Amino acid sequence: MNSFTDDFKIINYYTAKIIEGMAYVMTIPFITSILFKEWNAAIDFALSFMISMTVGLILEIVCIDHKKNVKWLHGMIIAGYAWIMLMILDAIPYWLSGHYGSFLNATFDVMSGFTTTGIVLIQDLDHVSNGINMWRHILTFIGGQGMVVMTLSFLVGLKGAYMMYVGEGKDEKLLPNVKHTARAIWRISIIYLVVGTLVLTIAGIYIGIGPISSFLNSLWIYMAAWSTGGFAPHSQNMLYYHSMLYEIITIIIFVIGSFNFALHYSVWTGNKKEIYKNIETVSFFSTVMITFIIVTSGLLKNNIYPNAVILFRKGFYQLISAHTTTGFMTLYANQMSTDWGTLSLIGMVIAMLIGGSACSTAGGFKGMRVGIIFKSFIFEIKKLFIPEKAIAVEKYHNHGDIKLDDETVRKAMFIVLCYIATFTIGVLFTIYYGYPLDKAAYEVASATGNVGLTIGITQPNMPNTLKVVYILIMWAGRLEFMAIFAIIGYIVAGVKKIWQRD
Amino acid sequence: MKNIEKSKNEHVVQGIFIETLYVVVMMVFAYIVGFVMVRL
Repeated sequence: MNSFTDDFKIINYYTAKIIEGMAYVMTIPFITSILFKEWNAAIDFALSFMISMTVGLILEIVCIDHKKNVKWLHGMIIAGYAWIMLMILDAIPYWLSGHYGSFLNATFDVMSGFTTTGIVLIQDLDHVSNGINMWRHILTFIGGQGMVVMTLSFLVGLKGAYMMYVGEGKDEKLLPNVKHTARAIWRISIIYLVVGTLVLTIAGIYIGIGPISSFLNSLWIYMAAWSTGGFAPHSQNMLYYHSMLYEIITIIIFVIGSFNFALHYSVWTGNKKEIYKNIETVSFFSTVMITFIIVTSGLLKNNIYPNAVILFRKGFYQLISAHTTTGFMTLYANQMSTDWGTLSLIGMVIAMLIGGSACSTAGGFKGMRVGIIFKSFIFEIKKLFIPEKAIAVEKYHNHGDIKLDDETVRKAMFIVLCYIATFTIGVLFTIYYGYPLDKAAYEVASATGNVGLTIGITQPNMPNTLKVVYILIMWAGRLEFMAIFAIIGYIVAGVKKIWQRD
Repeated sequence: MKNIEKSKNEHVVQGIFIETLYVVVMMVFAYIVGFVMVRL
């Protein structure tokens, strides 16, 4: 049994590797800055790279004698702890850029990027350098696939990487080996990166953007869409492009991005029927339609979108953006609070909380859990109508028929309850700072589900305590709570040991 | 070996097409729902 200090050193050794991995990624925005002759940004990235590498190397050298295979507890804690360390170190280029009012604001945007949320505190976004824009979108792209697994699988080849994979909120193995699983995830994302960027670039040129600008915009929009992140290089977000073609292409990218990586793998290896049989795609389609009807009912009651095309471009776009937890907007935030009405906002809150698929780039409860809970609900009703001695069996389809058992339902219920508890705490904090209930619920659902749509609460001048609460909510929601419970348990155990020693 | 690679690539292209088709069907369905609700 490892002591508390030994555990701490093992955790820090692998966290150091992750920090170094992400420091290498800084070379991409550095090169971008050089190419566009943005010398200040290039210096910021060079400095940030050196700081990250220094921290990483010091931690590695101090903990080198603890290079061991990790256990479940280590894996979980590394996933959660590394995200906090990276949040601080990767915020340095943001802070040096001068576009943030404080270092806290910069860390907020890093966590928003990593968790693929998309709410931002950046100031003067329309005049940000290409280097910083590249960094913003790379953070959200890597966050969507899982940066801990990326670093450990590619740089270290660690046996215990599966624990960290689970710690980052992904639990389906596409292949028996987690290293191959991580590479399969990256292969899928890179293939879509090439296809999606190409299609968006052509669309951009077609709507009148210059070729180089169109390529950069397309690359960044693709990264944000695929990762269901919601960042955009312009303060008007998707409204900037004023193009239905661009909107349709982005819907296709972010809905596909919200699919389970296991589903992609299954369909891409010949199992095409899985797309309409899988519990997640069935659940997703159903909940999208139900929430769209709720939102549309509210919108029609207020009579603001007079025809089906505008309803599709405004109502459906925001709804599907919310449901996939992307956060792209074709409206101004204040239009939503003044025009949409309470019923539409409730529909949006439900969509944001449900979210996309498990083991995907999306957040929220996940379609799998909604499907499982719904099936168990129907099963309980069915049992009332069958003879007492009959043996009832309920199944759901997820790459084959699986028997619905109590443990599966219990696990699904547990995570959903964690989301609801986190959402409630966030709403209480927001109300405490004087915001009305409906707006508070909307903003906190957006943070909890890692969505990124805003109703105007998330601004640089919001209370600092609320910023910290939202950072914690985004972090907990993205890691699906288990890594956070592991960290809390580890700290409590450590404090207990110190207490008993005294 | 080349046939295996070709078959894999075909699956990938078909996979992208099928996933895109799912989203297109969803969008058409949503448009129809919106259209009917506006008319009603």
